[in-house]
Amino acid sequence: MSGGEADEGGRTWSRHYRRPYTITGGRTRPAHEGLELETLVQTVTGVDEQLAGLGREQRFIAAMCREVVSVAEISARLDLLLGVTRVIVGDLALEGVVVLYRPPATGADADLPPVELLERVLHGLRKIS
Amino acid sequence: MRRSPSAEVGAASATQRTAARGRSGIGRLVPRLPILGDLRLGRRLGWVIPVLIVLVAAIVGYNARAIAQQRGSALIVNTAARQRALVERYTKDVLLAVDGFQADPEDSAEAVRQPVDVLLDGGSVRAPQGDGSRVEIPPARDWRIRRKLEQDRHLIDELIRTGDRLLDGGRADPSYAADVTRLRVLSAQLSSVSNDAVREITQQTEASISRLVRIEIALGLLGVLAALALGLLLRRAGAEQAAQFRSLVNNSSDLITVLAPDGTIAYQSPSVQRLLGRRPADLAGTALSDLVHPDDRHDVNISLTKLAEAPEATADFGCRLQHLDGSWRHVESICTNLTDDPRVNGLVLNIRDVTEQAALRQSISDLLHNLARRSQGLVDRQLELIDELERNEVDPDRLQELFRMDHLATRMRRNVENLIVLSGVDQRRRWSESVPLRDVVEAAVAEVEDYSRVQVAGIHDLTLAGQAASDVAHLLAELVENATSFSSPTTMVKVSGGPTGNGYVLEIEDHGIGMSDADLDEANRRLAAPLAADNIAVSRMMGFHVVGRLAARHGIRVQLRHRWFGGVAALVLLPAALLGSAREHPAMAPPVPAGVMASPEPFLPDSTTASGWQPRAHLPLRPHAAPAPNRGGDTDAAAEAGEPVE
Repeated sequence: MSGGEADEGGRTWSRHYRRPYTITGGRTRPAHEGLELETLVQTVTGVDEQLAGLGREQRFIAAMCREVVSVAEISARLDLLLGVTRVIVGDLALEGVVVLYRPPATGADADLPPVELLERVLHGLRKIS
Repeated sequence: MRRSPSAEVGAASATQRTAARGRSGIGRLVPRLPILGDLRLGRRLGWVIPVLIVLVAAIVGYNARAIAQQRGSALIVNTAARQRALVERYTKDVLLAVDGFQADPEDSAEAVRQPVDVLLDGGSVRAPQGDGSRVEIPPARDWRIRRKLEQDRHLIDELIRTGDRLLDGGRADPSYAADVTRLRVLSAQLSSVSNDAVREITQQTEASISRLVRIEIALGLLGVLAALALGLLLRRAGAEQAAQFRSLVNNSSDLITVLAPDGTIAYQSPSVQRLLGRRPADLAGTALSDLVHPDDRHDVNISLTKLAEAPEATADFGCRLQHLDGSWRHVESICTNLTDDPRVNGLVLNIRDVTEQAALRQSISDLLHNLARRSQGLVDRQLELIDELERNEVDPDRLQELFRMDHLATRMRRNVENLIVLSGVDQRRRWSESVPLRDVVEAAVAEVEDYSRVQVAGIHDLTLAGQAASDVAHLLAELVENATSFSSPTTMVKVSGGPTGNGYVLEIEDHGIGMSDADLDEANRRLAAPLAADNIAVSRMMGFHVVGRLAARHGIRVQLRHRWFGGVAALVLLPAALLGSAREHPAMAPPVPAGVMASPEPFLPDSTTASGWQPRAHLPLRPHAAPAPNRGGDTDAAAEAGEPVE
């Protein structure tokens, strides 16, 4: 019946069965205020032993953010829901594992590129990968 | 002597009447139930046996009385005859004494009186055999005999008075001559009267003996008749009962087969004609296993061999038997080992045709499977849709709602996939690639209602074979669900893992109220030997059946234990054959484009696998024979040593 189902839509078992709500325990609201798509994230040096007790996504993010990465990029690279990424990054920031940087404002908030544009950029990034 | 048996008869017949009333009561409730044949037999024969007993008692009694009477009569005749001699001796003694010769008439007088007294009033006399024993003689009853004896006694008194007068007066007495004459006359009279008495007595005795003989003959005849009637009744009842049972055996839809110790059919009931189209005579002497489906033959042989070693044991098995036309009939057999019973000397098989039930079960199971498959497709599509929605959702509140939908759909998928497992149709999703064990555990947590109370810790970096991933996830979900629902909502349920010699153990611990010993035993039994799908629905512990079946598919062992400080720990032993190393597994590295990241090395903080443990897949493993999972950790050691905390 299902020889082909394994590769259906390119999905792996984990993506099929591991549900995103368990990663954050069902939370969708970041514990840290002011987390936006463009917020930059960097891992604090010397927290390796602190990582041991964290979940896989947390560890991946901490590893990835040894260089400065934006929240949107984390979400795209880890194929993680944006809402979930924000919650995890917020938690990490509260625990002091990562520090957050607001990108330098290029003008008033009204001048920021709209979300649609950012999503298109995100889409483009996905295509590259 | 004759009263007591008749009293017994009265009592016996009264009991019998009561019993008969009781039986007819049962008879009204279950009219004409053939198995009551033996009860009816008992009722029919009930009156014969007391009658026989009474007859035999009467015959014995009469015999004893007749013998006693005959002995008494002989004595009486003897006594009467002796009296004549005694009278003559007395007469002579008197005459001799009067003439001055040596004699003892006083003594003779006593001797003359005695027989008459005994005969008239009863008493004891010396037995004629002369061995010194004495025999009781009853007083004479017949009036003719009594009259003669009275006359006898009267004459004796007269005789002795005359004798006394002669002894007193002697020859000088003027009435001497008259007295002597009188003495002789009396003696002659006595002799005659005694003769009459003896004749009367003899006649009486003869009459009574012939009467006794006639009665005995009649009683004997009655006894013979009663015995004949009893025999006939028994024979007829036996034949009737045999016919009843034969008809039961012949007309039953069940087969009754007797297997000789060598496995050949020693007896086959005729109903085999209906079930298998074969004649009983053709089957006698052939091996039963020739009829059994080749796939079932091994199991049947094992069951029968095991049974043959245990006299009086019972076993049951199901198999398929071949009809003469080549088709297969599903049967269930209950067999009893009666090799110790010399009348049977073999295994008795009661075989019932369950082909229709088997077909019904199959169709129900197919229906279940089809419905579950359809639902599975729908739930999968629903989850895909939810995935898409979640991906594009940035609003925390709406994402929250989507998560709740996601959670419900995930739980629905778990139920649907469990249904597919329960339907017994072995069609599973085959995921070719192996899956990180931690993902499987997290997937299980996602399928539990109260997932936020579950804490996963210390699962090693291993992978699980893809074809087992979903089943293991559902199995764990069932156990975690059990743990969360039977513990306080404020406590956590912990899922942890650790390697063992022959695999990997996952442990699910709760802080609940625990289970009673009986419930725990029952649950472990279900886990070890799950029932067939159609029996699970009625079972109280359905979840454990599901776990048992899921585990059995992959050689996984599951066991529940008390935790000595409260709650229950569920241990799941994954065999090494299902496990692989996760070090080079792609899912363990984040899906980033190659070259973007400098090196995958930092993504694998290795602290949880510091020991670098690898499953020892090269060990010869037999999952079913594996010992109970035991990590040897503090918890287990304590759980084994400690008392269950209730």
